[in-house]
Amino acid sequence: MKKTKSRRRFLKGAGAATIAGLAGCSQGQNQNDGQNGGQNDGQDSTTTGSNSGSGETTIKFWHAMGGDLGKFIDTLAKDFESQADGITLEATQKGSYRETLNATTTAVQSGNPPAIAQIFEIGTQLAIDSGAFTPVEDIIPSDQINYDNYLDSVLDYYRVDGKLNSMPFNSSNAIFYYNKNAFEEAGLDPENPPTTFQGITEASQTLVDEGVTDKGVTWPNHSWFVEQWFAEQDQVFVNKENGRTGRATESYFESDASKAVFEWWTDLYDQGLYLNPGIEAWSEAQQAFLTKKVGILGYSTSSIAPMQEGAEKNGFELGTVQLPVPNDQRKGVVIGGASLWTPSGLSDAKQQAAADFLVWLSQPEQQKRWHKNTGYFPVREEAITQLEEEGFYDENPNFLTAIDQLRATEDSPATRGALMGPFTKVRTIVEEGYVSMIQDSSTDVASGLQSIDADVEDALKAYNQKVS
Amino acid sequence: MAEFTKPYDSKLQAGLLLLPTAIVLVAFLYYPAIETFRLSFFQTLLLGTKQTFVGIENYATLFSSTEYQKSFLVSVVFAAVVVVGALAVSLFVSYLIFEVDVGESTYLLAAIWPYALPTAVAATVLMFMLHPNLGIVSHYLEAWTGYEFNWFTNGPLALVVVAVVAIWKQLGYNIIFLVAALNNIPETLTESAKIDGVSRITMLYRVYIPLISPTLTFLVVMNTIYAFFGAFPLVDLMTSGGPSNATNLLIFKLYRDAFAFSSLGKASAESVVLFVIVSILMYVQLTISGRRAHYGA
Repeated sequence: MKKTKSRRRFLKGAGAATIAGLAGCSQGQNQNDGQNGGQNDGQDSTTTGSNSGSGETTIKFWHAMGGDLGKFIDTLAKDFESQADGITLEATQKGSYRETLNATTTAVQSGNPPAIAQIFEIGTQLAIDSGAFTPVEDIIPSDQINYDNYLDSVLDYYRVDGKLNSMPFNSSNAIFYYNKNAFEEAGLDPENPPTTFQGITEASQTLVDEGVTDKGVTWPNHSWFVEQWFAEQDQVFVNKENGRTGRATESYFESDASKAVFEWWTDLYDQGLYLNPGIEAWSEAQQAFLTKKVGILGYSTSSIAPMQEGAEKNGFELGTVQLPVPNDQRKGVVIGGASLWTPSGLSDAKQQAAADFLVWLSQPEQQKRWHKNTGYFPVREEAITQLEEEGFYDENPNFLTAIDQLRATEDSPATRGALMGPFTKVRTIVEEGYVSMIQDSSTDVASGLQSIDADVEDALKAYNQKVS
Repeated sequence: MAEFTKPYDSKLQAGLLLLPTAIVLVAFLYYPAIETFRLSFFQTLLLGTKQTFVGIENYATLFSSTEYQKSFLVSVVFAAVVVVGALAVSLFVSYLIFEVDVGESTYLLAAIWPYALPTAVAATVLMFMLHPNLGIVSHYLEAWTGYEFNWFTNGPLALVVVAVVAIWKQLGYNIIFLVAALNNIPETLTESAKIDGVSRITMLYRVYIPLISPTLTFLVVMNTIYAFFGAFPLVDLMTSGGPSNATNLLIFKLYRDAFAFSSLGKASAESVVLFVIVSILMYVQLTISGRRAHYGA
């Protein structure tokens, strides 16, 4: 069943790409005259004028988006080409985020880098330390962009030492999805979902007690959720203001905020209410939710569109709610997702073409399409306002949950998110640490957190030694 | 020897014919091997950017790391289980296929089929089938036996699951070679043994195994290499080395250190150590079996 669906999707995507391609050809013939600016008027057809039109520039865009998202990027690339003057954009999926980062650094070393590379948020420090990239703020002429219109929380994440290193592209945060039909069946109020840890536990208990679902709730065993829950409690992950005023050397896994998260999470498991889908097991968690093994799912906002489709197919109504918190206090969430980086050592023409693409991509028109097709939120205030005016959120309230959560976020070192070189390793330590806590009774939460803390600080130390 | 026709006219021609192979070997095997050896003495940031010479520090860290020691132990246990298991099961299945009179090729095809499946695909499919909470196999296993099949939190069980999948995946390869070897045994031997009233099990153990021992030796070596290097996708896709490093095989650990945790220098040292371990094992295996395998008169 899944096969036919994906085939249909593929046909849809391929069809769209073909049409876009044709559109590109026909428009390419009556090229617009180069005309500067236009990035604020939100029109699809504006040209960015710095290309004279005589030379043909081909730039490569390496990304980590597979499946439908990848196809959508191809469509965007075609649309960009069709309105740009003499620029060919080759978008290629280079595998996972980690693989894309590895491929890009290798390519920079061998002197043949892509003009744009998509790098995940936790690779930010590593990318800066590699010295392989030029900050986008330096390559986009200041008269072509107005940063005032960007969401502060997004800019705050990617701005390091006051400079925007990369262009925010696909930004998301964590929300909870729930099955409204299951809630109703269990006698819970489907319009009034739980918003606290305690509430999630109780709702899960009811779902299980009433025999509606096997387990109550699931989310991938992913450090990302832990990071979000730290931020909600205004607890920084690591010292030096989350690694933003200097190299972090200490972590805070033994803090009260951390204990609140891990005690709740292990209790949920011990009571048979949490389904453990596995480490970073996004698809397994989604599968468990869509096949009604659980009634509540913690997931990324980036999947609202496919999740809605999946719920419809499995015959239930989808609800979304902001990330639950230990008590009713919310400080906000950290940006997840990825941003676009430009490697150093590009020719001027390529750099200019890359800048053109980045400017074009952040225009409200493109931002709106991207948002509607995925659930990744727009990075510009203007795009959200336009969607509100169009009534998009009235029709699709689930898309609004993430936006509300984002807008309510208070700016602080905790909600800006951590910056550290060994972030990938830290995530693995946290995830394996949780497994050790639920694995056997010999490791309780306190000793589990103690060893996570020690391991993370070792990783920080080892990394800091390398870069010093 | 002189009367044999020379396959080439001159030494130059011979060299030219060897050149493509030599280039491939140098470019994709020897040069990377030397580079790995060199990198193992360096500390690196990301993939080789900012290299700092640190001498044998990478090796020193490895040997004192309990995580690495555990990984070593797990790999050895895993290899032993996989080699013995894969050979035993495939020998048994091959013997059945060899003995059966009707539909031999159908059975053979069915037995070889798993080998034709890409390991990554097999791992992904099996992951969903064996998943502790979502898998259909786990569901019935738990319903019938009452045993809690939770290999996400049970380390030894996770190792067993990966080992069983690894054995299953390797069966086809072994069976191809074993069935071919068994079919090469002269009919007369079988007939005379039968007349002497040798039972089927004794026949396998006393007559067939000694006769196919060269093939078995070859398979022991190939399966050892497989157990150390080939099980990577299974670990990567099914357990990510967990829970608590219970399935963190050396090959997976070095991949993760290099490409996920960006410590190329440390991973190179691990790669060199793994190479040495497997080389020593190969040498021991070939020496021992060289004494015992019969290569005919």
